[in-house]
Amino acid sequence: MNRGIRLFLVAAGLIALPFLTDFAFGRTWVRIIDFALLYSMLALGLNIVVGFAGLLDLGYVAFFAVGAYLYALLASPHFGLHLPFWLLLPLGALVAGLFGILLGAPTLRLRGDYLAIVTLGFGEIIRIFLNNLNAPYDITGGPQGVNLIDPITIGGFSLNHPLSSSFPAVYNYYFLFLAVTILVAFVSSRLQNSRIGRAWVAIREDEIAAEAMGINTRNVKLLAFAMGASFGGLSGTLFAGFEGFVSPESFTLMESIMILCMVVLGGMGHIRGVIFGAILLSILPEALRYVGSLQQAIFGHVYADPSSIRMLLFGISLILVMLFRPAGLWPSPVRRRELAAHDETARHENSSIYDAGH
Amino acid sequence: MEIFLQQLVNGIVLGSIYALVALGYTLVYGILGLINFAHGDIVMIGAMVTLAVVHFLSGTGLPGPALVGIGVLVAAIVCMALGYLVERIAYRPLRDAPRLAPLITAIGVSILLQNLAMMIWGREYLSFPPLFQSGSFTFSGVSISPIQILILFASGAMMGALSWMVKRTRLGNAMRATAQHPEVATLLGVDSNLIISITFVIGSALAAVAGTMVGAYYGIAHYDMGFMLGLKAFTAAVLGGIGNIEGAMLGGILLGVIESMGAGYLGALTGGVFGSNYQDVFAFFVLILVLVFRPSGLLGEQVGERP
Amino acid sequence: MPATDLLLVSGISKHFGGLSALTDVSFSIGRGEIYALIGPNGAGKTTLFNVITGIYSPDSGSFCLNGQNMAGRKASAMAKAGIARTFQNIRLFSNMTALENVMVGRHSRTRAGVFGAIFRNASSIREEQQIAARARDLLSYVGISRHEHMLARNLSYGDQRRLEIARALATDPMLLALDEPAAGMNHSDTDSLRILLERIRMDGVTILLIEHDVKLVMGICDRLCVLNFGHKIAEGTPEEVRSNPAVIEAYLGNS
Repeated sequence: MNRGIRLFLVAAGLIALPFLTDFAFGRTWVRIIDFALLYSMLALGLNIVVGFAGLLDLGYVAFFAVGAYLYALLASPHFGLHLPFWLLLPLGALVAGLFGILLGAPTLRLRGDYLAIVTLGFGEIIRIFLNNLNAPYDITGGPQGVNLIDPITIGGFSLNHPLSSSFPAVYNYYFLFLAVTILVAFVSSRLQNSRIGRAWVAIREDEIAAEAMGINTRNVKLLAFAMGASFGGLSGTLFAGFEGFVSPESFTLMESIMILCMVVLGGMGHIRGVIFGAILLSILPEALRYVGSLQQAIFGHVYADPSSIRMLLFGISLILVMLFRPAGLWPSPVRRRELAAHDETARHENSSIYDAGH
Repeated sequence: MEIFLQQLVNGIVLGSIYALVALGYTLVYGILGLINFAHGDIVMIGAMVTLAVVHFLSGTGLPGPALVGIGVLVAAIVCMALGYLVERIAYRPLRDAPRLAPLITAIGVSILLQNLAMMIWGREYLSFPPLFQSGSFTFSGVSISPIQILILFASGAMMGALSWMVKRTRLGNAMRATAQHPEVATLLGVDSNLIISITFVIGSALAAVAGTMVGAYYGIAHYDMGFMLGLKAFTAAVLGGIGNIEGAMLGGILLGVIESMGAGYLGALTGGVFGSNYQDVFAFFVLILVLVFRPSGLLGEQVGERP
Repeated sequence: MPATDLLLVSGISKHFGGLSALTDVSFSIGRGEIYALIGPNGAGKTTLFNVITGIYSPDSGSFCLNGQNMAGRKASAMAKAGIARTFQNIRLFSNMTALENVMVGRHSRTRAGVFGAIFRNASSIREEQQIAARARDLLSYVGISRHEHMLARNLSYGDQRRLEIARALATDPMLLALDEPAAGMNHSDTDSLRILLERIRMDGVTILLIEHDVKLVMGICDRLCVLNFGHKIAEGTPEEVRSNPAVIEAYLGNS
């Protein structure tokens, strides 16, 4: 199919999505899609660290927390500050990126699973601080978190205001999140197909050889941490404005693990696969909520606690997907790229394999 | 000084439980290079099964320690079977898969076990009946309860037995050989699949005992108790040098002591700014500090960057 | 110092624990030479090699590249200064294509950062094109351009060796250090390797070579240094070394 036509169809589908979803499944599901987009940004960010550079990070949610709390504290009655969104969004990315460097620096010498446990430790440390920094001075609001956060406002227009009765606030957020997700995916793809992206993959494949080829592995790793973290910060800023409320409960280790599952299940290192994984894993637990009513319909009685069955099935699906597709549901098409090499014409048409044509 | 000694004793007791769980992580890691994320949940299942057996037999009039004995036996059998099954179903098919694939199945198994336990035993905290004589012995101001003594002896004995088995028996040799050179071990006639299964079974038995200890010590059991415990134990294993058996023991006990010292002194040390609610921060902070200076843990092999 | 020396190694020692792997080793490599390092197993060749390529830092002694002291610098700094290497047990980026492997080699000679990657401004596009063009040239230089889109891990053994050389050449080295390039090669592979090395030298790159294949070494190198138990026991042209009694006893005697 012609590239232009395909692009048009995808764009039309994405614009129609909230309306169709609302019509078919109800407004709650539009909200779920909004969250799926936030998770897509997180998964894309973690993909830079884990998928590209091969650094196993189990504390990634910390950067999401940094972005969210930054917005929450600077745009709410908590400190009486109400800074504008257009300033806080890049600031969230920047501060989270700095945290990425700060937390990345001590881990540079660590390998594999040692790195995993240290990043996990950092994630927990940040959460525990958020939980306890309400005394002696109230900085983070403690376990209660921060309330009454300003809604995202662009050019004087608050996204919490419905455009009309058939265009509610969740639609506003959908289009904003969609735009940022596309931006993040675009940046990821540009980075992947660049000198920096190649250096990341080289480190993932063989750190010693990468260093021997003149790559300063320390700087390049820190750059991966910073870029990944800044995507997390973006997502966190949007999350705080969307929810209007943040508390440490949203930033547990389980969240980090969930984001990692999205990356691996979708297809590490493959941008489309990662987005697919994020959407799938955001939607699946919600879809499994219907298990309760399904039981009712089939057996006329709810036998088991629906929420535990739901997570049980979620666990089983993680296992099954990995058993049958160990490289993820949608891994990067390296094999296709390889096959193209045997086809002379294909090689000449495709003047550079870095045109992200596939 | 008395507070110090008291916290030291409490820390060593807590630490020896961590050490038992950490051994399960380290055994599996040593042989497969896999973080068995579900191990903490096997500990939880161990606690739950013991509790169920104790409740079931509580009408028989058997004394408390006997009830626990039978309970822990049943729990060990259940956990060993579970450990075996988990390895067979969720890890073995992925032995040559990308490294993170078995980590994800391990997370899947962990979620599965927790929710299975929630369906069977409910969401409430279950209380362990007081099975041991209460009260405590006091030595120069430091008090120690019978259950603490029991935990110390039982975990010490199990760790001793495990060290002996790994170092001195044919099975132990085969385990070490499989961990170091799987291909060579296979060539020498070691059935590596069998050894891996046995490793999981041993780790799970230790988990069952540890689960019972935690349940009896704190008097409660809960379907998600395994998560934080597993995390702590894994931290302990890494602290000591993952894959190293003595490292897991050292790391476990050290982490236990660090935590209880943190709980006891953090407030005083920082002038009340950081209270005992920061004890986990303290534990992770020590871990990070250790790893920054010794990237392979305290007793881990310091492999240079050999090309 | 004589301007003709590219690499001047003086008094390098290196211990591992109580074991001394290198003791006071000195030698120099002239510009445009093919220089070999030989010795029995455990003689310290690989250790010396790792010191020169920045993987280990020496306990004492120094070495200069082009008059600049390099001892103790990081491996990436060595590559940037002009020392490129291959590995004895091939270390390619196995899940990258042959072309991408060589492109990685251009890293230290190019500059595009995050900004250039995202915005693809004119200079970063030009640089990216130059990287790809140079990488293709190098693949054809070592004779594997038909495999440019194959993953490195799927190349044949001999082609993997060639790819490693191409990747090292992509860093524009003054000194190309090859760790047993002929290991595991058959006779015809070795012959074409010899031709390739001659050609690289003709194009102005100095070569340092560790090799077990004595025939290849003697046939190709201008001068060589023989190590035994971490000491230099002989140095000179192949003819001189061949007739050196110490060498015959230590090395040729038991091979």
